[in-house]
Amino acid sequence: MRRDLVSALFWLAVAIFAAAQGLALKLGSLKQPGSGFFPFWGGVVLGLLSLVLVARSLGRQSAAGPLVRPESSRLLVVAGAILGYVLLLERAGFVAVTFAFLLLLLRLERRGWAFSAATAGAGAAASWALFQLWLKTQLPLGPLGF
Amino acid sequence: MEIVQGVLYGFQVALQPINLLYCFVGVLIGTLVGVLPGLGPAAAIALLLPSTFSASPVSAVIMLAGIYYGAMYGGSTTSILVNIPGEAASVVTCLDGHAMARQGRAGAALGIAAFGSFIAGTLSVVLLTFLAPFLARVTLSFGPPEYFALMVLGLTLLTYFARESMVKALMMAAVGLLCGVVGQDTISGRLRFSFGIRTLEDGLGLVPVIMGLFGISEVLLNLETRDQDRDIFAAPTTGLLPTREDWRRSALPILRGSALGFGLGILPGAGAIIASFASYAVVGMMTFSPGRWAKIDDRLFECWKPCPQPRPTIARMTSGTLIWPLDI
Repeated sequence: MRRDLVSALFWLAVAIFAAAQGLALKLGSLKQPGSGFFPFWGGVVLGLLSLVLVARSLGRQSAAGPLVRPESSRLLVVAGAILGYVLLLERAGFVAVTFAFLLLLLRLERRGWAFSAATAGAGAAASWALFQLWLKTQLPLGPLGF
Repeated sequence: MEIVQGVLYGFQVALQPINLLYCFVGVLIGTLVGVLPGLGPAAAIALLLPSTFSASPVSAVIMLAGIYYGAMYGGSTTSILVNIPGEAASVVTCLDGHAMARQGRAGAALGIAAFGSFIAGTLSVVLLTFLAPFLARVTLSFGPPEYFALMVLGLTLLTYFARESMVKALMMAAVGLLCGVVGQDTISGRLRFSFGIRTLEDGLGLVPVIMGLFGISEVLLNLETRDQDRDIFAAPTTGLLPTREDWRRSALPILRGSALGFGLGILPGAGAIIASFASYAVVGMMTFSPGRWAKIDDRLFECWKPCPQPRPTIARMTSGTLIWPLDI
């Protein structure tokens, strides 16, 4: 299973990073654990389990499927858009970023421009009205004041 | 005798028409807000607190309790229909409730969630009324070793939830533990894995994590499947009332879950999440039904229901985990 192998290697890297960070933070003793105790041992356990998964996936190499499917590109775009949403939210304001995000999602679903723009506009405006006007939550404001 | 007098006086106050109205309004708007993904009971109460300012203190507390339960139930609605838990305790409702909705039984799942919640909640309140002084002593004697044991129990339950690969389940448990250490160390105050980002210094909130885990993965999964393969619920949501057969099957699970949820739900801090998962696991193990879907129905009958109930009351008394009634 190549996909298992890739994810196991990813988590192995995370485990090594966590354990290294834990070491840098001081481990302490079993009776008086330091700040790094949990990250270090958590990383060690995760690393060992990842190695088990690596070994298992290498043993079942014959069952390999395609790692990247044609649909995966859309997935990457959306994952990137979610990240972009988080990064831009504070700067561009809730309404603008939500509108752009919804528009992108609807276009990815192969809807027409007019329908996408109208739905995205309505969605952004409705959530702004709900959270800002009714529930009085403080949403990030953009340069235009909303 | 004193307790009975107190209960009767409580009924006398609570059953006044104006207080019933406040309760109804609280439950209604609580449900409406609770349906919004990510807004759990605590957030709903915080947002709607100003709406109780004009009421008398007693009515305000009644309305807030209504908002609490409404939001709790609203969370299970999104769990069942769109697989996005409104708050941490309704994660287990997602597991089987959404599976039922996919089978076209969303109405039954919603009805069962409501009735199970009501029955277990009522039982918990009755138990709590009479056992509160004793339970307060027990809860206070819970120290770090007991909590540690409870956490180990929580992690052990994972082995039951692992459906495909045990290695992967244990790996994700380790990842969860690592996510838990993000932010400020509670003992030394040192920052861990915050990378200079201020939001991370507070640690990772449980609600955003489960929302992302369930909600965003649902969106991504939908994008990955081809349009024609995607299943959309076209069936109308009907049949909210459980049938006689449903009641017969669910009576014992509801009682078992109430007892277990009550026992675990009173512990300050650990509360609803462990209680809901433990109830789910135990009922799953104790339910013997021939068909897979039947089994899932039975489990759903109770899974998260009982736990939220005791939490606000006892926690207020013992540890102050949920101190909203004192805020007023």
